[in-house]
Amino acid sequence: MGRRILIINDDRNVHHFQVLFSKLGCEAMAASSSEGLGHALATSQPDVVMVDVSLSDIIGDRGFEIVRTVKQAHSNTTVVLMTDHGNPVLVDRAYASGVDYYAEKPITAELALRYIG
Amino acid sequence: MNASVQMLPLNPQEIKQVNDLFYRGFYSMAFQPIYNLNTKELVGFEALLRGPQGTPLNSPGRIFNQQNSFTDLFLHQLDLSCLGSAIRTGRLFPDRYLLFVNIHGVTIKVLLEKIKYLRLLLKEMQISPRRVVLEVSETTPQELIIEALENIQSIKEEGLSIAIDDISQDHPWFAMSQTLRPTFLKVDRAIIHGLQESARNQKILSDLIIFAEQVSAQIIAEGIETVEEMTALQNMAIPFGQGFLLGHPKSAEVWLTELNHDMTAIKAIPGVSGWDDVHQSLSEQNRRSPTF
Repeated sequence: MGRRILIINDDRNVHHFQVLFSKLGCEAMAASSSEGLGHALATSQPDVVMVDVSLSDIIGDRGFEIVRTVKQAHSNTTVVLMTDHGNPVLVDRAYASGVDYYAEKPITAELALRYIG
Repeated sequence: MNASVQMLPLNPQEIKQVNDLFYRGFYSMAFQPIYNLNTKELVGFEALLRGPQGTPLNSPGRIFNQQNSFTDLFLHQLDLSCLGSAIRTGRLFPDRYLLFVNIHGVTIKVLLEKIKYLRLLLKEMQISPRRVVLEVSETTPQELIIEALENIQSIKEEGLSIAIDDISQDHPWFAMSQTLRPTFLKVDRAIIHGLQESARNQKILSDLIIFAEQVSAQIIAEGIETVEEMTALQNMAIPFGQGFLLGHPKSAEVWLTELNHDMTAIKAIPGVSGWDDVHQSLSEQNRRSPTF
């Protein structure tokens, strides 16, 4: 059975990630809000969670709340923090938060393969 | 952390940490402004690698001073990834600003091998190649210089511009600049420091001005830290400059705020690179596409 990927992104991009991960043999689920995340975490055990911090304010406070929620619920889940554009402050916060990967979009297939292991 | 601590050799544990941080993507770009010294107009930004604070990837100078501790593959990928990050984030700046990105001479060969991915990224980020200036640092072994020069000519044909970093008469490419025809010559802080009091450095710079005219290049003075240095450069009609006096490296977002740029006007980007290929059937080649 393929790896389960939960993508937390805005509506504009989520389809892209679902198609990419599906073509890499994964089961790709999506949530575009914190509420959707709670439901998805309750009903599935994702192997990888991709969180887009561009969802929220400039350095992504809401994105980091999501990271904490995921790591508390499933500490072994790989968490990838994504952003629309780079920012050294965001890198510092991402590293301190305990996420496994930091990525500036657009994501390549090679990176997606790295995340699913 | 002071400069001497920053330049301490990396120990094996730190080298392992650099590799791990890079693999996990924990780096981004800070941007230092470059100004026209005569008009005071902002002309572009140099993208500078920044890893997490408190880690060895936060001080890339230590990595570049100790290149023998890293594989060629790692160093090439580091260069290409910095180029990719600079383009991804540099797209936020208005089109009139140039983007200077550091790259080693030997990496240009690898860049040419993967040129279609660079073309794709520039297209996806809606950046003209003419805005990108590859700032070539000189670590090329003597026996590979001719090949490196040919590769640079090829990359110029892609529309990208070239700057030679840390130019001096001792630079191994100095004599070849007639062929190379760089757009910019960057003069290191070692020559700019205390310029107003150093007849020797003023002579070096005067010679470089004559040389720049001969090869139709423009000089950029790096590391301007005092008003006196700035005045000396203006008196010598040096056209461009950067340094802490003019602006520290900062995130693109901070610069855009300072420039009163409308963040809502920034164009959206795709979530996945090479979408057409992903949408149809993901080719093996694109599964292994480089992480620009």
